[in-house]
Amino acid sequence: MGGRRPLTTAVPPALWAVAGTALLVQSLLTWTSRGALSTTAPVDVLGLVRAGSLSSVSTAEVVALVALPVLGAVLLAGAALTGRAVRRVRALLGLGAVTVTGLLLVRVADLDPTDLSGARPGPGALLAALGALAALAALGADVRSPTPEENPR
Amino acid sequence: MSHASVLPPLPPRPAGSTDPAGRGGRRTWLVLALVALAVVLLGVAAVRVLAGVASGASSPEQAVEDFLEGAAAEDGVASLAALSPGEARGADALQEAVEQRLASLELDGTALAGDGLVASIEDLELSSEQLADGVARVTVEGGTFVIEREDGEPIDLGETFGPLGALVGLGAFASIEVESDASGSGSVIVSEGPSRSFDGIDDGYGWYAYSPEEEAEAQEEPEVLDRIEVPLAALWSYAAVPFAWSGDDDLGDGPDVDTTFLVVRHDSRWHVSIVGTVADVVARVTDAPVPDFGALADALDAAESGDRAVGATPDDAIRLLVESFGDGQVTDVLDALPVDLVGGLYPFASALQDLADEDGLALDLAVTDLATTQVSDANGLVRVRVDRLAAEGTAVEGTHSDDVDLVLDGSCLTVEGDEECLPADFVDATTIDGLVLTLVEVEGGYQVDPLATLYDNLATVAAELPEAWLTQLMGPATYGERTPVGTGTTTVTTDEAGSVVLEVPADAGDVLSVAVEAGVEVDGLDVYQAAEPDLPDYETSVHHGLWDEGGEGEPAVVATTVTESGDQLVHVQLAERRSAEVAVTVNVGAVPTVVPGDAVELQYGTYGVASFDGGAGGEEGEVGTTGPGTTGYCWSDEQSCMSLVVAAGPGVVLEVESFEDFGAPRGEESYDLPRAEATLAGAEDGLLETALVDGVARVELEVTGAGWVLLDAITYDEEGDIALTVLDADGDIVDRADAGYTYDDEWLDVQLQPGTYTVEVEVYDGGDPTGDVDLLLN
Repeated sequence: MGGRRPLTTAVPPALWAVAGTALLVQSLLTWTSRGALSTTAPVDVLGLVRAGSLSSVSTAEVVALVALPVLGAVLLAGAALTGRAVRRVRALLGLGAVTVTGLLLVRVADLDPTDLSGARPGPGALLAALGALAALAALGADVRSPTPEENPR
Repeated sequence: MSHASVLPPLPPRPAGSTDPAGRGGRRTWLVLALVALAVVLLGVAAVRVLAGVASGASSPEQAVEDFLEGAAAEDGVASLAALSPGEARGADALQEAVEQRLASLELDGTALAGDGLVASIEDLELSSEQLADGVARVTVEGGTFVIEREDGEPIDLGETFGPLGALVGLGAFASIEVESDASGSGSVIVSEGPSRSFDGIDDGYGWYAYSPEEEAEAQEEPEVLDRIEVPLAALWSYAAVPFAWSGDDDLGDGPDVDTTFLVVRHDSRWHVSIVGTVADVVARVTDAPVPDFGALADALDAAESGDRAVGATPDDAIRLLVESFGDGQVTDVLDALPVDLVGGLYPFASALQDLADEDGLALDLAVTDLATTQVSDANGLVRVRVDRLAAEGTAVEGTHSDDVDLVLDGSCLTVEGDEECLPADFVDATTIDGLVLTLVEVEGGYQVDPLATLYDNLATVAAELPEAWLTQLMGPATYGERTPVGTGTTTVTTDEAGSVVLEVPADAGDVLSVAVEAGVEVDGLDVYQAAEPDLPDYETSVHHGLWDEGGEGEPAVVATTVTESGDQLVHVQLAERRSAEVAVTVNVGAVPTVVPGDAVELQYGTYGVASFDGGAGGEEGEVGTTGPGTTGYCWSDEQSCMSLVVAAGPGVVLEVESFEDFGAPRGEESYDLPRAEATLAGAEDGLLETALVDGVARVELEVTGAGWVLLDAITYDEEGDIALTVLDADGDIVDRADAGYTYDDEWLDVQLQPGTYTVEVEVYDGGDPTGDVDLLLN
């Protein structure tokens, strides 16, 4: 058992780091491979909104576009931190990031969860999806890998 | 201060832990590294957002490349980001509204992607020329716009004609060649530049048609292509072909126009100006004055220093714009509009001024009453409804000047007492019941933004238009509902767009006719035969059918000879686009045969249908009718040339017109009808060359023996139009021809009793009032 422990404790931070990085970097990549936003990344969209060139983007969408990389940055920065409170906050942020990713995949990448045949996701959407999956996996790994103070054997 | 001191305390090491000494330190470094990485990545994203890098480009060439790449990828956001801000303002809201509406109809907004096609730009080469400070012209030196199938399979033009129709049409227009590839199964479209030589038949009016043999040959051409390539350097040459071609009978090579873009610097970033690009290209292919690009640089400087015609309030800005038309100076109008929208027009102001002066109309108006209601204020755009606008002033045209007053009150505009209102069905369908203007906040106040106003209103239309209207705009192919009807009169209900598709069973050889009740204004009445069960999206497939739009008290009628038994489809489009009940009369069966001189019997009560055999070699246009009727296109085989004749009222007589095409000799030895004995004063061998006086020529026509008289009036004036009228001794009009063709001729075939008549030729619509006119008799 003693030999497996370092590996087990290394998994959640690694997963959180992957999730955070993916959720951050997605903002620099395009979310669709064809049509609208196939050559424009979320940061470009936010820049256009800020410059007043885009008026059709709703406030909720702007919040989501800003929130996702910020959540990614926080998850990345806190990936190696430990402690019960840290885990709880990270879990909440991770779930929030997964939710926002899901909403943006439907709204921005026009992903129809019931029919993926017509989906044209770009690298940004794929990376965001990967980040969300990594966040879910990290959540599970965190649960299965209690902190030393929770299981002080 | 150590790094560890800024981090939360590490958890206590559990008793018996095997954690080696120094692990806490490594974690500290790991945490620090991750924080640093997060900060760097977030910083990069933040800089991209805050520095506004998304809008415009760092160089003129990059702006054009971004624009073209965005267009090829069908990424409207990217293309808009490359455009001058004023040209893109509000366009995304329109795009969003259209896409949402298309999605609600389960239609894909991406034309190419929806058909599994992918467009790209290969080997783009650009060069740039600085025209003034902040103004550059970028030339496309090389590169190819390529369309391929996403799955790598060949493109079947039959399946993808919709999105490719325009491109294929352009290709055909510009003589893009179709070549078989090495495998022989596919082919590649290769263009070596536009040409104005065609295989078809030129009728001298810029239109051409394929002969049956050529049509058959065209059908044999491969319809499956590996990929479609359009050289970008020739793009503007293609676009200029129709313009350069109009009115020019001398078919030669097409214009050679470099593909260039005018690029303008706003807020230290370069943006493509479509307005300026179009003006620049037009100026280069016409004899426009040399553009003054320094004027654009000055306008940009003035905008930055707030030295432009700006209203302190939205109402002031509206007043300012209306009154800017006062002294007829184009630059005054441009100054009252956003510079990032109209900036590209400043270099061409003198050319625009020449156009304005040529028109010779100046409106010196002062706003006497203005009442507005603010609709919204967001993202620097203010939308206001103009509840009432009254203006008074003077209209100056040449040396004449008249007092003018106009009042815009809600959806009605009154000019000099004449009131025009938006049609009720339009208001119902679009919810647009008046003028809603979009104004943009600029340095020092507001300016009216006409393009954003247009986008905003179109977005409203896209969002509100009833589904029936939209499906109609998408083309008749999308009509799903069909109303089965039998012979006799049936009352049917149109959809919200005033449209109904009837399904009528008929056998081959029958003549099918449908009449809409008299008094109902009809915009379209088309028959689609059973042989083409899906309604095609172009009307030319109406197979030797014809329709008469009727008139006051007369029904609109369509008739066709059925070629294949089964359900025939008849599309009725009412002029008023709203749901309505309308009575339609359907008849199927044989119809009587008539010859020239025969009156068409109204065997169906309010209308009648007959057939006419033009014999072998008959031509379209050989026969006509008098009165409320029409004749159809000739349905020709080796032995005969059958036409249908429709009478929408009593007294319709089939008559021979006998001309083969425009400009050919007419009326010689081809008349079955008795000719009148007539002389035209001053004519030699039936030809009189005379001059117009004050735009009119009047010539006496003496008829000594009753019969038919053919008169032909010809001018060679490239401007204006002519009308040909025969008046009796009392000055009453006997017949009049005014087909509306520009710089061609008008002819009349009229039955006259002995007496003295006046033949009057009148030139109008800008024609030379002292020009020459030739009059031909018989």
